[in-house]
Amino acid sequence: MKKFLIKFLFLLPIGFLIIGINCFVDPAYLFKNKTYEDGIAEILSENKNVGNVTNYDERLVQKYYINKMKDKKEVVVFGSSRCMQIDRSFFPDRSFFNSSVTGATVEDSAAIYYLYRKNKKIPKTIVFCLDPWVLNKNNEQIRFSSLESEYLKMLKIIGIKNHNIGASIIPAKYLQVLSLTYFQASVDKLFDDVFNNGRHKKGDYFATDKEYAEYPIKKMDGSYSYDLKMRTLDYNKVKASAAAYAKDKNVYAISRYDEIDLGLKNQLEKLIDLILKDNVTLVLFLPPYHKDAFDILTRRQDTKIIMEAQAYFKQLAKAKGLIILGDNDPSIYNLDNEDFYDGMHPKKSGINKIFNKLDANTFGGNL
Amino acid sequence: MLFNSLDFLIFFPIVTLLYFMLPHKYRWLLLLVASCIFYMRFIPIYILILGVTIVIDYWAGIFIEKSTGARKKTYLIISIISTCLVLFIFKYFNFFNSNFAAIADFFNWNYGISALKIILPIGLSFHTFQSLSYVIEVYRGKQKAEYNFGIYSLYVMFYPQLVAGPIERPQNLLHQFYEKHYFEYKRVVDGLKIMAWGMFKKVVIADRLAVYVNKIYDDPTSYSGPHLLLATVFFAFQIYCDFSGYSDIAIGSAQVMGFKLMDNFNRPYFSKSISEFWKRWHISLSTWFKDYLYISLGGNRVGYVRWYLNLFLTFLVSGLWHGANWTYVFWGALNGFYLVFAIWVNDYRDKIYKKIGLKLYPRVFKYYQVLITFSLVCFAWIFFRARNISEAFYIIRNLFTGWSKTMLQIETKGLSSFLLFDRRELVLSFSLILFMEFIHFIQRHGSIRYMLEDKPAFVRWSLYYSIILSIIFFGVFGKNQFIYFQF
Repeated sequence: MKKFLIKFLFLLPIGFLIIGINCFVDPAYLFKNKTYEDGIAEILSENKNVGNVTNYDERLVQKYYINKMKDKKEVVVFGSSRCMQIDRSFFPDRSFFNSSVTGATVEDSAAIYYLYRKNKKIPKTIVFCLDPWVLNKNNEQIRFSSLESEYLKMLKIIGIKNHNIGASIIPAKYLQVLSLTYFQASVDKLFDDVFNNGRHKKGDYFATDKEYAEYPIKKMDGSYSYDLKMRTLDYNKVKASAAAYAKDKNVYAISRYDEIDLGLKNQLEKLIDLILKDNVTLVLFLPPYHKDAFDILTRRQDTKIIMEAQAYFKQLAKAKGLIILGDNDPSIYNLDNEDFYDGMHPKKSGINKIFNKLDANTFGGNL
Repeated sequence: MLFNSLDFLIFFPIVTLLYFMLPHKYRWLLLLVASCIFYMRFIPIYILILGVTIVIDYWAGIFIEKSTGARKKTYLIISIISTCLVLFIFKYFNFFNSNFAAIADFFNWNYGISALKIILPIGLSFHTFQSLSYVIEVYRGKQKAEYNFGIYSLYVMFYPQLVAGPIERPQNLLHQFYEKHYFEYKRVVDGLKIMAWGMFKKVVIADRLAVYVNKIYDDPTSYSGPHLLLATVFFAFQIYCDFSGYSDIAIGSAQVMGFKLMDNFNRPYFSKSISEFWKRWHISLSTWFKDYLYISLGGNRVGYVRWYLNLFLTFLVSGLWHGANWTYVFWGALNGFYLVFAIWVNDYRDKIYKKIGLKLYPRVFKYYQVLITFSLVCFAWIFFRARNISEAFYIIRNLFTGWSKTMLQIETKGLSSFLLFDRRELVLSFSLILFMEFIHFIQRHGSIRYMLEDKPAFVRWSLYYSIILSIIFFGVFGKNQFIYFQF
C-alpha cells in the first residue's frame, strides 16, 4: 500500500494541471469574483450596450442589474434566448427591459421575479415567454442554481415545499474546478487568446453605442444581437441547421420529455397567480419553431409532447383570462425561413409578425 | 452511475478504500450496499424489480437443489418463466404489442391493448441472464445452491458488472465473495491500467466517433455513399470501443479489489471467420447462448438441417436479446445466416482457394480472411445501428452511390466541403483507430502490460501519462451512456 501511495503521488501533477488551468483560465468566469458580471450589469444600468459579451453567468447579470435598477420598468420580458430579440421597439414610449436568460426554466423566472419584488421594482406588464421544456423535469437546465437562494425564497412565498434542493454546501459551479469538459474549454480559450489574430478576446467586453457588430452585443434594454456570422447566415444553412437541430437524438432540453411534470406545473401556476395578485398585466408568449424543425419535432414520438405543453399553456391562459401570443407552429403567424436564425430562435422580424396581431387597446392601453 | 463520470471517480476509490480497511467478514455487505447505491443512481425505484428477481431465483436455487425429478424441473421452469416474464414485460411487451396492433389494424380487427408507459430498467438483460445461469447450473448439479441471501444478492448485483456485464457464471464468481483479498500492489496497479485503457477507448475513441456516426445514422437520407460507408466503419469501432471499454473498466475495477471477471473481448476485428468473431466478441454472452440455448437445442450433435436451424435460431434469439426492434432481429438472423452459409460452402470455398493458390501465401490469405470477415461484420452492423429496417436498407442501397459526385466536389471545392466536421477531428479519429489496432496487433503475442514490465520506468510512465493526458485533452465528455446500457 505504501509503495502504491508513493507511486500515486506521481499522478498528482495531472490533478494540479486540471485544477490550475480551470482556475487560471476560467473561460466562463466561474471562479473570478463578482466583478465580471457586475461590470456587465454596471454598463447596462448606465444605459449603454455591452459589446463582445460571451461566457458569462446571465442569471448573475440579471441579479446585479435589478439590484442597481433606479426606476421601475413598465414592461419586462421573462423567458429564454428565444425571446431575446424582443426589444424596446416593441413597446415604444414605455420603459422596458428584457430579463430573458438562456435556457430559462420556471425556476429562473421565479428567481428573477423574486428579485424584482425584493427591490420593489415590480413592472406594470410582464411578457412571459414559455418554452415547452419548462414543464420537462429532465430538461437538464441547472443554471438557475446561480439564483438558488432567490428561487427558494420565492418557493416559500408561493407556498411550495421543495425537497429536491436545499442550500448546497458547495455551489455546483465550483465543482467545475475538477471538470474535464471545463478543462478542455479552458485549453481552447488559452489557445484562442494566444492565437487570436487581433480579434477581441473572448470575454473582454466593453461599453459600446453599436447595436449590431461583428461580435455579439447585450443591448441596454436587455435584448441581444448576435454576431455578424450568425446574423448573415445563408438561408439554406439556416434551413439545414433547423432540420439538423430537430433530428438530433437529444434535442435541446426536450429529450427525455416523458410527461408534463406536475410539480413544475404547480410552480408555474402559483407564480402566475402571484404575479396577477401583484396587479401585473401578464401576456404569455409562445416562441415559434422553424417550420422544418416544427414538422420533425411534432412527428417524433419522443418530442411531440411539445404540443401537449402548448395546449396546457393555452388552457392556462384561458383559465386565468390572460392574453396568449405565439405558437410552436410558425405558419400560424406566417413566419418563414427568413424569420429564423436556426431551428428554434426567431428573428426580430418573426416576433414582429406575432406582436402585430396584438391589439394595443386590448388592455385598455396598459400594454 | 456512469463509469465516465465524476460520481464514479469519487465512488470507486472510497468503496475500494473501505473494502480493504474493513474486516473480511463485512466486506460483502459493503459491496452489496455500494452496488445498491450504484444501481439506484439510475432510477432508484427499479431496485425493487431487481430485488424481486433476486428473491425468486435465490429460493428457486435452494428448492431445485433439495428436490428431485419432476419437482426439480418444475422449480427450474418457474424460475425461468418468472425471470423471463420480468424481462418480457419491461423490454418486449411494447414491441410485440405494437406488432400485433399493426396486424390487427391490417385485418381491421379490434385490438384494445395499449402500450405500457415504462422505462427499461438498466442492465435488465444482463442480470437476468446472470440469474438464469445460476439456476440452470444448480439444476445441472454443477453449482451448489447459495444459502447466504446476501452473497447471492451480491452475485447478481456486483456493481462492476451489474449493468453491462461481463455476464458471469456462478462457478467463477460466487466463491470469490468468500475469499479474502489482500492489497497486492501489482494486481491493483494492473487493474487500474486496465481501467485507464477502457476509459481511453470509451471517451477518446468511442464518444468521438459517435458524433459523426449519430449525425449520419440519425438522418441517412441526407448523405451520400461515402458518408454512409465511413459512418458504418466508424460505428464498427465505436461499438467495439464503447462496449469493450466498459468491460475493461468493469474487469479492472473488480481486479483492483481482487475479483477476477471473465474476459469479454479478444481483438475481435482480427478474426478470420465469423465463427472466430463470435468467439472473440462479447464472449460472456456468446458462451451463454452456446451453453444454455444452442447446446440445449442439440448443438451440432444432430442432422445437418437441425444443426443449421439450431445455429440460426440461437443467433435470432441473440439478436432479439439486444433489443426490441426488428433491426436487431435482422442483425441476429444475418449473423446466423453467415455461420450457416460458411459451414455449408466450406468445402467449395477451400477448393476455390486451393485452385487460385491463395493458401500458398499464408500471410496474404490471413489478411484476406480478416478483411472479408470485417466487411461482413460491418455490413451486419448497419442493421444494428439503423433506427429501422427501411433506413437500414436505404443505407445498404446507397453505400456505393454518389461517389463520383463526391470526388468531383472534393476536386472542385476541396476536402473540407465533404467533411462534416473539422479535418483535424477526422485525422484524429483515424489515428486513434490505427493506434488502437496497432496495440491489438502487438498484443497477439501477449498483453502489452507484461511487455512493459521490464521496460525502464521513464518508458512506462511516459505511456501512462500519455494515456491519461489523452483522456483529459481528447476525451469527449458529457452524459454519454454506454451503448450496451440500452440492453
